[in-house]
Amino acid sequence: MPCYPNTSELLLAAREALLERLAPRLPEDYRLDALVIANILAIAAREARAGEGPRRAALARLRALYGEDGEEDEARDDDARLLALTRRLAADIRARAFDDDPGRFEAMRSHLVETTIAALRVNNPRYLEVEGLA
Amino acid sequence: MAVTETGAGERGGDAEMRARLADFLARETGSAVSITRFERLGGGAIQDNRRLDVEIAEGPFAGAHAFVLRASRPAQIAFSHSRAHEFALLRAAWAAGVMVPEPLWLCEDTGIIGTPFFIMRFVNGTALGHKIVRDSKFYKLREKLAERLGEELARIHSITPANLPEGIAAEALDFLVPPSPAPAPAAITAYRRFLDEHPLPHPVIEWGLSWAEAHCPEGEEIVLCHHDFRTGNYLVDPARAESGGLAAILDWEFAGWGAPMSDIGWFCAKCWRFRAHDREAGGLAPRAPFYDGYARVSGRPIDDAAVRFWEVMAHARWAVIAIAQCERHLSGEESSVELAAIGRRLPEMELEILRLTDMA
Repeated sequence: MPCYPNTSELLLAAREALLERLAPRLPEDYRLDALVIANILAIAAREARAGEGPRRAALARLRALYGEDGEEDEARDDDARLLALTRRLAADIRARAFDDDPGRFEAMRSHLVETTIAALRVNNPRYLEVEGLA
Repeated sequence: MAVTETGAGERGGDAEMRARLADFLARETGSAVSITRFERLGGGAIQDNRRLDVEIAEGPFAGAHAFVLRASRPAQIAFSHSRAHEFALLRAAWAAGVMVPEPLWLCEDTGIIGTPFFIMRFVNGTALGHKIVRDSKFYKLREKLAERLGEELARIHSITPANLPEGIAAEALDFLVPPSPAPAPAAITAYRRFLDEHPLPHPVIEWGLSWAEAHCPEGEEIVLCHHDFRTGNYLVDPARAESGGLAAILDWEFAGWGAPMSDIGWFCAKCWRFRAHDREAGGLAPRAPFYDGYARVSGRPIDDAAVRFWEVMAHARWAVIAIAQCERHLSGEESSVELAAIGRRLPEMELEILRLTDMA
């Protein structure tokens, strides 16, 4: 049974109260803080709504890039695996490990692009609109 | 510029601080000095700027003056200069004819306001990037402003290790890190070292640095670089139409020896266009007027490949700074929701790194 109201709805209620009721009553010095907090609440709400999807997709891409099966281990910790594979990817990129394999090079590049776009969908969807990628 | 009153808690010791400050100014000017205004100015995540208006009774400074007192905050970002060094840089820039607020006096005695500070002349104007890029008041000025900024940058770049401006002692800038013979690989190494210290992996920044490693410009000149020359770090006053509104180049705390095209790339980088992405020169205008102003005064042609390299590096640098800012909050050094939120801007830099490196 999902929580009711869900996390995203709760955070957006908090954001609305902050922006519409509290911020106008704050002294000017504190208004920037209020706007930053409102933005953080919006990010958290989008992240809650996106759920596990983006992380699972990233893990699947990295498993494909590194030829991992990943199905056999039911008790696996996906977040730890995602971090470990991302660490390996970062080190491999620095070591130019993909330079001689155009197929894997392209897979690496498109993983980076997709991960970045997924992060922007959560952190700053307006930026994606400006960039024509929304 | 937004002006806010100092907090009530500070006001308790304020009268004594003002008295000490008036004494300091009296010693420097050889005259009785009375302070008529002393209050915090907005802006600056790292420094503390205060408006300081004074009346000076006699001597060469006799009269009413509007000054700015620039102090350090307790927690300083790594790599940024002390007030003494920033003061020396401002003096060199002033001597080279760069449009900067006139630097007046340095005080390293922490007994006066609690930290070292220097005093410069107040210059009217706004530095708010969003306003300069969007406000209709600046609309007609922007192209001229971009051209004028190119000229000013050329004047900054006229200062080299072997050629300091007249009136500046040969050792005045000796505190700067000695110039690297190859600034591009040196910057790549520095950012990689930073990433190695961070607990999380950053594959997109790594990608940008690997691309950069394969595209390093060679044989770059070494000049004085501002290293934070961008919209948001200069003052604009629409009343100064003859300079496109430009009133002063600010924020010298990162200046140092470097490659001239690195400042060009930083100025044009998308992350400093304040969402006016089609105006590639700092959100103001196309690149042409900025490049023209620069080339005319410097006599140095713009190297497009080097600029593109430094634009990739600009986003890597912004990303590294964003991580460092965020860590200031996470480490408990300076609790700030604003610093925490900066971390979530990383993907903006990362997307631009990916786009700039997509071409052959």
